[in-house]
Amino acid sequence: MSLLSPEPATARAQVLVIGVGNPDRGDDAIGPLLLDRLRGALSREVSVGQVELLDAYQLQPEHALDLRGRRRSIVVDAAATGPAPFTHVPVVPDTGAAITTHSLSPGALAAVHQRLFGVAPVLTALAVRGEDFGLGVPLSTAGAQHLEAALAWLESQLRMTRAGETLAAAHRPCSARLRTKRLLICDGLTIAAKRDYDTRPR
Amino acid sequence: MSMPLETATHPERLRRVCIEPLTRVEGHGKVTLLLDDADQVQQARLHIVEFRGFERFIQGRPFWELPVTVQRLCGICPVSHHLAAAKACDRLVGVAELSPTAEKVRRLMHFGQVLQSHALHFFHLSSPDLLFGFDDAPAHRNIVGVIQDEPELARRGVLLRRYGQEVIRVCAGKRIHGTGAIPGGVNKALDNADRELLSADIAQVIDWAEEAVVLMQQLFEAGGDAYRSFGAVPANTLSLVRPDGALELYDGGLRARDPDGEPIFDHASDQDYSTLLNEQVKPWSYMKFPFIAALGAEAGWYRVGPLARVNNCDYIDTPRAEAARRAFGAAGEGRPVQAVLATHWARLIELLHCAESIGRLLDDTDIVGNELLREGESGQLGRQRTGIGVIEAPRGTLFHHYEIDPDGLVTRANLIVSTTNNNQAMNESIRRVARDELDGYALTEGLLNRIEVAIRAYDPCLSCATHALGQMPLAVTLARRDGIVLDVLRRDADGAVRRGDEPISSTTATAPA
Repeated sequence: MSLLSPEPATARAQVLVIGVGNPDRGDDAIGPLLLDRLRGALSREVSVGQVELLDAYQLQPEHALDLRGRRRSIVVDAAATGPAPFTHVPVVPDTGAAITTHSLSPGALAAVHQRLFGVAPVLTALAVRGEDFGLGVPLSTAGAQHLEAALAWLESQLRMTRAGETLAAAHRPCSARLRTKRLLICDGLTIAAKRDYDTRPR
Repeated sequence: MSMPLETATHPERLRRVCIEPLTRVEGHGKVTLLLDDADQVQQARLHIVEFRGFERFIQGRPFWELPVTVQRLCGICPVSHHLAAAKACDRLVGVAELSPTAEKVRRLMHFGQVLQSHALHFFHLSSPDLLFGFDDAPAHRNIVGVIQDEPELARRGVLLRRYGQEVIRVCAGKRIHGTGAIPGGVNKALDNADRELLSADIAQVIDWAEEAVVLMQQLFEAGGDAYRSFGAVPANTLSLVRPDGALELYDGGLRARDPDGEPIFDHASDQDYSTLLNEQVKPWSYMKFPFIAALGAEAGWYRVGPLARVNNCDYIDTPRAEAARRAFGAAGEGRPVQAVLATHWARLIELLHCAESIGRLLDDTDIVGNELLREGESGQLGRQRTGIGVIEAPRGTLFHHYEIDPDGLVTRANLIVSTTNNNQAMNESIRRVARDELDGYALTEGLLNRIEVAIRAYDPCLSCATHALGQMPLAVTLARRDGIVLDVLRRDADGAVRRGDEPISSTTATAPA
């Protein structure tokens, strides 16, 4: 196995869930906490081999390598703005993501993947609304409620995997109600979402 | 080392230009340029909202948690904080010397950290400036642009990052926030499978690192006098060095030199840092200004990080990095290199050194040894009440200083992070850019870019906090001396530039009539 090959050496779990955030900063812990909760749920309901969970403090270019070979990937992050309790949007490659810090936005990460491999990843951003991001503060009441709601949605998505449904199908728009929308999530960068999706399962 | 622009004679007559926050700089930063009535720069200040709350956050916690807890200071160099805290805790438990296995595993972890951090900075943050020019469109002057135009270079950057992360993972158990180093040693050594995994690619990693050094040298030399003078300021330098004067990133004595390369102090114990350095508070900045005590606050500021380290050391103990250092030294014509853009060159020399050092350690059987932990005379809850750990983080010297009570709970903490050490040096580089590039100009994107390029060379990393969700990445405010805002220039996340809330057609903004 070579670490310097961009292609995965072995077959991977078809779904990757990346939990982003700092566990010590209030609602910024939503991403890693949601992953912790999922670990328990996966052992009961979904084959671990079907889903891989990855903790990340922030997104970095090499995470594009983690997205490779997946049917679908989901980035879970707390959001300081946007709808509560959560929203999920397909991430489109953001080739104009010039304004970044040391970390990447999901859109920039998708763009890195697209440039490296020639195709955009099937990537969803699950933005869970947080309220308090203070150092050392516990999860806020609202943040905890939002986490539960997001967890329920994510588990439903992963159950579909278990039932054999393709995640690509789950990723399709659920209603004809499409409209242009811009969401501000993750690292202060704008993800331009071309469609707004009804979150109700079909 | 005068500071002619720091304090204007009549600040009440000045107008303010604010750049907030900086792009691709961790945390929130703001540059204030105070203009006089003729639009001449009279003051230039970098404001950094340094996060000081962490020191209070860890007070009351048991010291043995520190190596894990402090990693949450930073998402970029958590291993540096991890190891600095572990070194301080070694002192607290009375362990003066680690086992060979523990020290080498820690060093391996550190080399992996520096390698991946330097790779991120060059390949993804600074190379767009250097490859495409400071005035290239923001939508292109980024990592995606590098992948598009220089796909092999970008691919190597991503893979070097991944390699460094794997080094960290095998040493610390996880890619982020691992638990490898513990007070008195490490909790795991490598196994043979780890060694084989990393050894399989190290020759390629070294070759890529060396080719990156060559590329950077060519870019710097092609930049000519413009690159040599850009943001250049004569600075004192501070770094750890090995007892024989070699470049040292993990443990050594403190060396400070003046701008001519003459020694200020040498091989000083890192345990005495608080007598060698003082910290000054300035009313206009949240961040402290450390200085060399013997020189005083005005003349004692210093630079840390790759440029300081490569200037400061007598040699590098890995052959290919040493050859690169000699070529670098020639650029200084016998004196320390002061060009801020040469920091990128020095950074890649260090990246090469890390790659070579990783290869050397992978060949050392100690890294699969069994002696992981040593106990001090004073036991786990030792009688040592003070622990100081100093390490060379990717961005420069990092100090961790803890005091504990008899129960082992932290009563006081003092952390001087690399970016704080570079505080005044960054201000000086901004001033140089302001003097050379901004005087007489109105607010334009190109002018802002140049300030950012100078700051970016230092790769400041400001206590990674939350993800700054939904914030405007770049905003410029021009205010009159009476405080009335004359102009607001914003650059959105997608690169669009707008004045106030109105989009403007050109990406190059000009001052309003």
